[in-house]
Amino acid sequence: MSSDDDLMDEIRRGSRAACELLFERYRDPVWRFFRRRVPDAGVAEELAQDVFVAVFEGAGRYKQTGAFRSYLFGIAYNVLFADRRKRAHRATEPLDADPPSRHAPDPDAAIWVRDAMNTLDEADREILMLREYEELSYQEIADVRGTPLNTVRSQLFRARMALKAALETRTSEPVSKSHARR
Amino acid sequence: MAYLDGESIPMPRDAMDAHIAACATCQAVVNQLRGVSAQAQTWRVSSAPDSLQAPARPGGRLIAWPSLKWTRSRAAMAALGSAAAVMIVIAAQTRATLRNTAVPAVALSQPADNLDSQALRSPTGEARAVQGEAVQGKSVAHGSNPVASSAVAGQLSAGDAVIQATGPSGVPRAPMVIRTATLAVVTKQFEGVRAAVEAIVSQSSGFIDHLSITGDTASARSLGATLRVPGDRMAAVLERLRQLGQVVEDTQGSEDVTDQLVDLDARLANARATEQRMADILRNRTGKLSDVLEVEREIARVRLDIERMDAEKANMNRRVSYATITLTVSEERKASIEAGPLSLGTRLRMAAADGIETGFETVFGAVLFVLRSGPVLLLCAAAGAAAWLILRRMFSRLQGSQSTASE
Repeated sequence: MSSDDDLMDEIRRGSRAACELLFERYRDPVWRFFRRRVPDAGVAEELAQDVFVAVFEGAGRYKQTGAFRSYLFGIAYNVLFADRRKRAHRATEPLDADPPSRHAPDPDAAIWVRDAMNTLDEADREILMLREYEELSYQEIADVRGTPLNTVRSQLFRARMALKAALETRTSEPVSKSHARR
Repeated sequence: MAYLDGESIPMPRDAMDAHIAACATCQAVVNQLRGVSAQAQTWRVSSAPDSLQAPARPGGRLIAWPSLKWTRSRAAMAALGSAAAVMIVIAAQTRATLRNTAVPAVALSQPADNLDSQALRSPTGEARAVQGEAVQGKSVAHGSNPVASSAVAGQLSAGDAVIQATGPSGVPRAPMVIRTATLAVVTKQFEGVRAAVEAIVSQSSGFIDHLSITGDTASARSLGATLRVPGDRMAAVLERLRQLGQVVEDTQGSEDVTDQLVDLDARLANARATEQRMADILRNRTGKLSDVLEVEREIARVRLDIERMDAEKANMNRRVSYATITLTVSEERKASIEAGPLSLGTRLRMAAADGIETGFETVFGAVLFVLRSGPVLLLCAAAGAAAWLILRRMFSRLQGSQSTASE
């Protein structure tokens, strides 16, 4: 099985197969990355597509200085924030504008988690999501966020404790109230 | 956290497992955090839709890796801004310090183009180290901060008199006071005063800074002295000096020089550090011959400052250690005149002298009267003469008319 860096080398040399292989490897992770951060599924799909376009076009400039996942999600962050800036003049859409995924086993629990995530500071939320959902290592998170490793450690702990407090607050409220508030 | 996430931890994982198994508090924290992660995992999203396919042909906007740094969170940007501000401040202070030390910048950065100065050439990359040293020196120079200054004094002048007034934390624990006293005494027995003063000063482990005696046996004599005695013995010395006679003046004063000494120490330490830095620069740095000479001149100037401050500090320490007593002892003398009967010749001489003096004063008074009243008298005389002439003419006419009528 080729490593990510090997695939990037092949993509640099124009291998179509390497593109497809890399795409299949990271198709779902990138999609989920955007899906949790962008309320509109169509927009999330477009942004995920943009990420792969950027990766393939930038393969010639790719340097193996860190984990490929850091590189990939770094680009995903760029695409995400570029899109947010582009849409900044429009009405702000809350993160939970869409109903929870139909695949969620417990829709209420997902709503609570999403509400609780929304109460966190943006930096705390992003770093926590990178760890919990993208399952990046501390070093990869540090690379993506451009922060020191120890900062990642402390920020992650703070984010988890904040999420714990938020979840405790929300789970103590009636579900109907939570829905009505939204 | 790192333990839960499978990241590296600073102790063996087995040991951590054992600790958590034994520690109820850590166990509770671990369970809580695991619960949070488990709850977070309940937020699931669907798999990527089938419509999301690998791009057939690369196109669209290109976003490269280096642009990552511009899309970080606001907090990261704020941190970056703060770091930049701190760097600017540090750079400004460094520049100011380097300017104060008057080290020619060219000596630090310009490569030597003079073969004579090859011996001074140093490896590259030392400019930053010099900046660091300069910043450190600048921080030492902040004498306005009492705590910092005293801390510097505590670090750099251990063993001398100043450090005795500072505690381990650098906070002064006793004021440094210069004590002075002025004592004036009048005595009938002047002969033994000098010996008594010398004995008192000697027994108090002090010394006589200055002593002088004026006058002779025909007039009242006076002793003036400046005495230096240990500060803690000043009261006892004054008490003994008061017993020399009747005290006519007794004043005491003090001056707290704690801050001055601390500041002086800080400035001294900074000057020494500057001298050391410039010596290092001269020893290691590269530069033109003119720059080397300029550094040497600067070192000489700093050395002069150091010596001046050393002398000032020594003088101040001496004044703190020894109180100054200004003593004046005057001899008590009563004037007496023994007037006897005057002889005849003396009385005649005195009468003649009085007569001559009286005559001289009379003539002198007349002259003064003429000088003062002359102009007025002349005017009066002129007016009187004119009136006399007019009356005389009128009288002559009257007599003429009467004689004509009688005829």
